Order: sequence, then structure tokens, then C-alpha cells
Amino acid sequence: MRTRWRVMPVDTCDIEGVSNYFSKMAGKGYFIKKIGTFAHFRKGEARRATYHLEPLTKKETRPEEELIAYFQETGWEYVCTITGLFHVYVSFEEEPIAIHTDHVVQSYAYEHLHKELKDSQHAMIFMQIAATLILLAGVFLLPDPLQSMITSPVGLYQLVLVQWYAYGIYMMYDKRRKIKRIATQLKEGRDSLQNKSRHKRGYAINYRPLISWGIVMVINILLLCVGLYSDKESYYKNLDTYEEELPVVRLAVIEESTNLIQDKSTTEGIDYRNNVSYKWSILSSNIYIVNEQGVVPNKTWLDGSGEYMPSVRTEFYELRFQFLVKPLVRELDDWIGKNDLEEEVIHEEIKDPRFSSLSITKRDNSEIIVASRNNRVMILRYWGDEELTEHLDDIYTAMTME
Amino acid sequence: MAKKALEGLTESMYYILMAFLKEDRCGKDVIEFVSKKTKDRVKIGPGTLYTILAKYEEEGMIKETAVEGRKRTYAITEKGLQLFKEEFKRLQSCVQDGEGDESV
Repeated sequence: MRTRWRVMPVDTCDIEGVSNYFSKMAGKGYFIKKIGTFAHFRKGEARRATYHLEPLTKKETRPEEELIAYFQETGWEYVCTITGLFHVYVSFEEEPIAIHTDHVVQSYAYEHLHKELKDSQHAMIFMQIAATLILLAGVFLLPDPLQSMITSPVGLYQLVLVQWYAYGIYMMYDKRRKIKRIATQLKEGRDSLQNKSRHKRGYAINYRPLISWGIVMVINILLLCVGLYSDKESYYKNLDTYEEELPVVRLAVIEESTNLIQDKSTTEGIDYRNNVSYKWSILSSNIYIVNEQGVVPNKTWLDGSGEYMPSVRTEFYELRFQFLVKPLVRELDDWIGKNDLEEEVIHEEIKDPRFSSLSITKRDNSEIIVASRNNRVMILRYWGDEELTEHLDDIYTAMTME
Repeated sequence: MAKKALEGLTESMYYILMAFLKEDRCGKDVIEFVSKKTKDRVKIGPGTLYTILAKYEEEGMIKETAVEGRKRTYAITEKGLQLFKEEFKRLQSCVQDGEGDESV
């Protein structure tokens, strides 16, 4: 026995369309056997067949045996059930006996199905909305949602899932709306279901749900693959073993001191104070994070609080989309400008035509510069006694490095 | 204008309720009753029959009294009887109204 799997080209709530599609397939010798994500056809001798979709009047996976037997007596064979929606029947008679002889009664069946869908979907819609809110919170309750999305694929993945859930909610609502419309039409005495199917025998092709789910699936798989591949290419190295040029301003340049030596803190070969990490992501082609800490022997902090140990942390992003630069800079400025420690914070925008934007935030013991140029963004956090504003040329050089 | 659920009965609903007045019946018996009673004038499709039975059961107009294999038997309830009587009176009035009109 040969079988054939087909993607349903018709919306399952297009009653007339589904019936006509099955009849057309029967005319080619393929008889519907099962319907899930795909329609499962059995090969047989091509013949005329009329299909009928009967709304479920209770939660069941197949009709009661008495009903099947009675339908059989009137020439209608039970075929399968479209989960939660319809029982499918087929008749091979030239003039099949009408399954429904009263529009008002038929509208009850659709009203009942509509009510069932409404009740069962309430819980599902609530769960979908809750999941959506949790996912959104996971991204937008972070202090740096955009930066998180740039550095990690998780945020993007969550946003795609949100769209998926939102589409699922819409699909549920759409199904219910269609069922309700049929019930109303029948109640008003419009026998749109049977008359049309007898005369037109056509169906509107609708791959929209499949395409939508497909796009989301492809995006998810791509995100997953990109995440895995990106992880493979990323690295974390000690700064003293790193020989290539970095798009950062080194601590020695800021300090302008020949006496500066690296202040290492090494555990199992990893220097946690002087290191460079690199990766790329979907939103950023290059991400460098460089930490550097040094010590100048025989020099103390300006306030005399001990041995002078300046440090700098630089984050460099080369974004794939320039429109992300402004929101990222705004987010960084907001985050950096926050004063949770009740210390003095001075934020200042610096006008420099070489940069798209440039700002400096001064705190009690640190300075932070956020600079952007074209699609590049740099955040430089410095703990030391020097003035970062005296190193704008160095920042520009780092940011324009090829 | 279509009738609202059980506020008034359609022809099929009326005859199906009538089928239970004298005895308990299963779906097949109901069809035979209606066919005989109306001399095949009123046809009831299988979908219509079972939708009405489900609706009547849900609304408490009939109740299931026996299940033998595939066969389910139903009986009319007091509520169902009341509904039938009301509909009968309404139809009687309709007929009387028609008889009193000389143009008919």
C-alpha cells in the first residue's frame, strides 16, 4: 500500500476548501487517512469522493461508535479526526445523503466547537502570554538589554521565541474567529458550506502558517548554529602572550610611564587582571574586551592612599548594523550615568568632529569614555590618576584601526 | 431570522423531541420515527440528529438511560416535556391564526 505525505495547502478552518482538496486528491487516487502537521494519503483507485468535516461536539479523538455506525448506514465512512476541530467523513455515493438538514442545528455544532476552543485556548493563551512576558523580561529588565543581545545570541533567540508565541496566539484566535463566522452564517440561514462545495469544488491555497512556522524554525536553527560556530572562534588569552595589535588604548599609553609593570594575578595559567577576549556575534563582527592592570613601583596615588595601581578595561564593538550604534551609546550612557553608590558623577558630552559621539563620565576614582565612530563603539573604563581626555588622539587611532 | 438556541424549535428539533414522548429511543429509532410520522417529508441527516441529541442532553431535555454496545438510548425529561408542550401550543396558535384569516 503506497502512502503519500503532503503539507496541508489549505487552512484547516476553511471547511469547504479542505473538503474540496481531499476530493481532488481522491480524484487522483489519494485518499486522506490521517491529518496532523502533514496530511497522510493512501494510494488507491481514483474515484469520486465527497468529504465532510463535522465539528467536534465534545473532547474526543474519534466519534462515538454509535455515531460512526449511523453515519455508515447513511453512506458516510469515518476517516480521521483533525485534533480538537473536526471529524472527517467520506462518501463515495453519486448523490450523498446530506449530513446536515437543518442550518440552525448545524450552527449549534459550530457554536459548541467555538466555545470549546475558547475554553481550552484561554489557558493556552495565558501560558503563552506569561512565557512571552518572562522572555521579554529576561531581555529588557537587564540594565543593558541591547549590549546583552550584541554579545550573546540568547537575547535574540528570546526575541524570536516571543514572535513565535505571539504568532501562536494569533493563530488560535484566528481559528476561533473563523469557526464563529461559520456559526453565525449558518444561524442566519446561509448554507455557505455545502452549496459552495457543490458548485465550485475549489480551494484557496494557504501556506501562510507553514511558512511562518518555517521561518521561525530556520531563524532558531541559524541562531543556534551561529552561537555554536561563534563560540568555536572566540578566545580568551593572557595579554602578555597576545602579539597582534588591539583596537584599544593600552594602559602604558595612558600612564605614559616607563616604570609601569603588569600587575598579574595568575591562576592555572590564566591572568585574571591582564587579558583579552575576542568573539563575534550576529550583531557584531568583532568584539574585544581587554583588561589591564599595572603597578608603578615607588609611586603612590595622588591622595596618598597607597601604591599606585592603575587599571583599564576596554570594550570594543564593531557593529554589523549602523542603526544600532545610537541606541547602544544611549544605553551605555544611561547605565554609566546611574549613581547607585551616591558618589559624585559628572557626565559631559565632548564635541569632536572625528567621532560620531563622545562622552566622558567622571566618578570618584574612575573615568569612563564612550566613543562611537561609524559602526564602531568603544567603552573605556579607567581607574587611575591620569586624564582620559588627554588621550582622545589615541582613542581615535584605536577606533580607526583596520 | 433564525431561531435562538431552544427559545423556539426548528422542525427537526420539534420532531426529534416528539420521538421521545411515548418511549425511550436510540438515534436510529428516532430517525425511523420521524420518517414514519412525517411520511418522509422531514429528512434528518446524521449530523443534524446527533448535534440535536448532544444539545438536548446538554440542556437537560433528554437523558441517557441505557448503553448497549454501540447503541445509546435516551428518554425525555420533565424539562424536555415542558419545552415540547410550549412549542406545541405555539404551533397550535400559529395554525389557528392562519385558519382565522380568510385570505388563507
